[in-house]
Amino acid sequence: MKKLSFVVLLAFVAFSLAASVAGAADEIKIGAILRLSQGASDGLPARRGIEIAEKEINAKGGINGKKLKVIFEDSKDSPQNSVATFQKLVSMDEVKVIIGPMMSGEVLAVAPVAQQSKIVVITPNGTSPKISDAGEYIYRGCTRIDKQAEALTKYAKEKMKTTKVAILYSNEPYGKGCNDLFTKNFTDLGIPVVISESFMVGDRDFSAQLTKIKQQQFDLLFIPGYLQETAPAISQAAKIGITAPSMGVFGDMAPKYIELAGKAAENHINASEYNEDYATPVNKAFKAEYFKIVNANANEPNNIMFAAIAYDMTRMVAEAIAKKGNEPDSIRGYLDTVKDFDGVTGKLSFDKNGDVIKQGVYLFKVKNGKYVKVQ
Amino acid sequence: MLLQQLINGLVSGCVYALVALGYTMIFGILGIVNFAQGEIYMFGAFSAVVTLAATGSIWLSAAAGIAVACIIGLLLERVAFRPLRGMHPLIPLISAIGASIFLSSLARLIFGPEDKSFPLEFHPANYSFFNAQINDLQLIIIGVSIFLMALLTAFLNMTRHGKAIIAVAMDSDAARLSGINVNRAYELTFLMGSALSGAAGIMMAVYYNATSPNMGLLPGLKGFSAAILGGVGSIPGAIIGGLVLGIAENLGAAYISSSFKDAFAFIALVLVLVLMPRGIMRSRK
Amino acid sequence: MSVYVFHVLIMMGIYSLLALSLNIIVGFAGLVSLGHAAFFGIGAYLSGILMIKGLGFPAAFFLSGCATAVLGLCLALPALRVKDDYLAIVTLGFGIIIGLVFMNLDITGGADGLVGIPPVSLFGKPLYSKPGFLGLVLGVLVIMIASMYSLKQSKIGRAWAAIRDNDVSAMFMGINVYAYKTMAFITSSFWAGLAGSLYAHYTAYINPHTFNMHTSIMILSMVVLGGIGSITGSILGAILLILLPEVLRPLADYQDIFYGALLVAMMVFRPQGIMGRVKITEMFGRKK
Repeated sequence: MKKLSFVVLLAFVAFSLAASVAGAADEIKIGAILRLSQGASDGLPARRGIEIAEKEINAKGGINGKKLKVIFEDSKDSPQNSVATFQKLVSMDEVKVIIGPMMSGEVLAVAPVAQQSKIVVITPNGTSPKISDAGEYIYRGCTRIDKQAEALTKYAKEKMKTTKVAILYSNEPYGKGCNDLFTKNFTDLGIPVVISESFMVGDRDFSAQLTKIKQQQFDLLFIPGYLQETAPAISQAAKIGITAPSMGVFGDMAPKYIELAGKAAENHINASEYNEDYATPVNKAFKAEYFKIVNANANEPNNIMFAAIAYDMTRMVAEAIAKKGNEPDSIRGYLDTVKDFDGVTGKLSFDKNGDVIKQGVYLFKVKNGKYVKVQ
Repeated sequence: MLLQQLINGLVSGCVYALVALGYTMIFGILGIVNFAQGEIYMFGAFSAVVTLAATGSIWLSAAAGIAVACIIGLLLERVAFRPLRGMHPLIPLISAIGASIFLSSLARLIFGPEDKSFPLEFHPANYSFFNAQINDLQLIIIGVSIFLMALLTAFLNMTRHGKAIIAVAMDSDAARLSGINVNRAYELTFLMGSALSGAAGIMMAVYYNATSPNMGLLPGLKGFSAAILGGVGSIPGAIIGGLVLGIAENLGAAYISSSFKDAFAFIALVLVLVLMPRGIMRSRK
Repeated sequence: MSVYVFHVLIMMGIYSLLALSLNIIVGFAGLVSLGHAAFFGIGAYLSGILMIKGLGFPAAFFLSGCATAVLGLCLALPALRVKDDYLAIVTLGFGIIIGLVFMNLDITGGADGLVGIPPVSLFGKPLYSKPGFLGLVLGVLVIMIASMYSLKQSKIGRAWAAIRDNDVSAMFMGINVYAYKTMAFITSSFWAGLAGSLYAHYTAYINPHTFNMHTSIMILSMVVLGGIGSITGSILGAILLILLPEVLRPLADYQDIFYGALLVAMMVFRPQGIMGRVKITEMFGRKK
């Protein structure tokens, strides 16, 4: 008993000592907080994107001669843990910039600490509007959800001639934010939302909600959320006889969605941050690298969109450090002023809130089991 | 809509009932809550899916799924529970939780983090009556569940080994004195509980077309609640508990609020326990 | 010392408060509670909301403690009427229901969480420095430890010990078992609420995710690993379980496997916990 408590205290002392030791001097370290255990189906592709960028940059001589090293940490889908990993990266690894976290809840948790410590945080795919106001050190690499909303709702009105919409949303920041935003957009366009039901992340049974929805009249079913839920949801909707076409946000943009939803995915419309056919040399090279990794391992999740965003953000950070120096304020200086960066997700810049600007949102439709760009 | 929601509830209820049976038997005979029951369910599903993808044979995959579930159950009993018999109930609880974390992380490492679809496409026929629909798959699930429950009840009441288990559950010392091999009874209990959970997991892998390392968490929790609701240690209680839970959830989501769907299972539980403190089947004396 | 170390120390302090508060229910009174994170969350949200609305820290701090205690009473009244075995699942259900409430109300920020919680301000000055905050947490912790020791020796503590050993006998001895069990819940939730308040103002942002079943189980594990009923044990348990994920980080993909295996191993090889007496493991046989 005394021995055990001694061991615990010893471990603690060792830990604090380790925590105070600095790192190597000829490397430039940046941090990444990704969904590497829970939600690894999104986090691993993001990691691959960053690794591809890291390899590329180092192959070309690194950042001003120094090797780029990315330290990866797992957010474990927990805001509390994300803050802990943030502290660890900043204090122990002494990074000045962090890519991630990936979920809005975690970004919002890390934001006050990042502001206080003056560390640049770039989330590749947190979509909550609240991130825009999270502070001048917080950046976002994907389109804010309201631009996605605008594009999708306009498409519904003009191209799909929708008159009434039913919403089934994921009850967490992402899905709920979509519900609120899209409801406003649809209503402003004269399309009433006849019913709005929700589900939790982890649910697989949507029959209660869908049965309720089926009672209503509508010609579009909008399901915002993560594909682990939205795919079974649309499949079950089809099984109980809902025939209205469906729409989703960028969480549905992955081959896994089509696999899990089966035939029900046909004619599904969703937004995306990335277009595989974007014809630039950088994109071609990136695609080739990414698919090489995916094809090498049967268990590797396939989501090129998350990889693409993370890839672009890493390259932008590397260029910021190369041109302006490895300090948070200089990195910010670069990010705030860069124009038309040649990214695989488009020509990129950041607006005054730190949200990325590209040419617009891509819309895709599922046809014959494949994604086809419609806008 | 009411009839349809009842049918929805019936299907999820059957699954909860199968998992609840595992909990209730293990709790009834050993006095511990096997928090890792949901992970056994999950491994059953994964093993079946992987076997099906590799061999294409439905029967082989079902057998493989149930076999793996049983093996994991037996290992759990030996490693995480047997050494802790007779102790403060929180101790095996924490051990079970550790096992649960271990198993779901293991699954993530072995099978990858992504959801796996079921390798066979099903196009079940729909039947409608009175404004509601039910399809082949749902009927099969209900049918198989009833069959398994009947099998279990028959085994417990009519075979020597089954009656031994009941004896041990009632009084393990007396059972030991009568010559019953108590350890064997414990192992058999774990085996059957795991087989049922494994079967439930396989059916759900088909029904939802999604198998993932975390799929056991919520069904495990709800199965546990169902076991308590019905009266822990009671076989018919677990079945009734499961069905009540499934139906309460669906009706609650339909008529009150879908945001609180998961809460309804627990609200139903709390209401039942306040009115019938020993659970439905055990409060009737 | 680096900011990271202070962060970890502050977390250890806050979770020590939580583990100690749960130990009142589990160790002192001998009950099971699987939804403790709900009290943590109620304290955090209440304090956060009150301060966002302009209330000062000391007031928000005490108010959230008291309000959480009231909610502890609300849980205890129905929950304690069910048979002991089932208390576990009722408290679990309570935890899940409260979590869903946090997720769905507008005033709690819903799924997005509560943004922009003001930091603690003592005597008019905001407390931003980490060592300073650690001092605050340790101060509260010391007061709590002192109060727990005195509780243990007091009439209430002895009544709890009697109930813990055998509540039927305790009843025959004239102890109002129901009242004392309720008292355990009220005291426990009061401290958990205070811990929540500290947490909210330290992190400046909270969301329902932090107060889920996973957290409840972690707090319970801290109590069990430290030794049920032991005050020092709960603190050591908190230190251990906060330290472990940090120490295991280099293991990357294998972190959780190791963590799970470690919990099982600790229970199998040292079920009485770090500070526990072996007697406790013999006390609760599942005899039929």
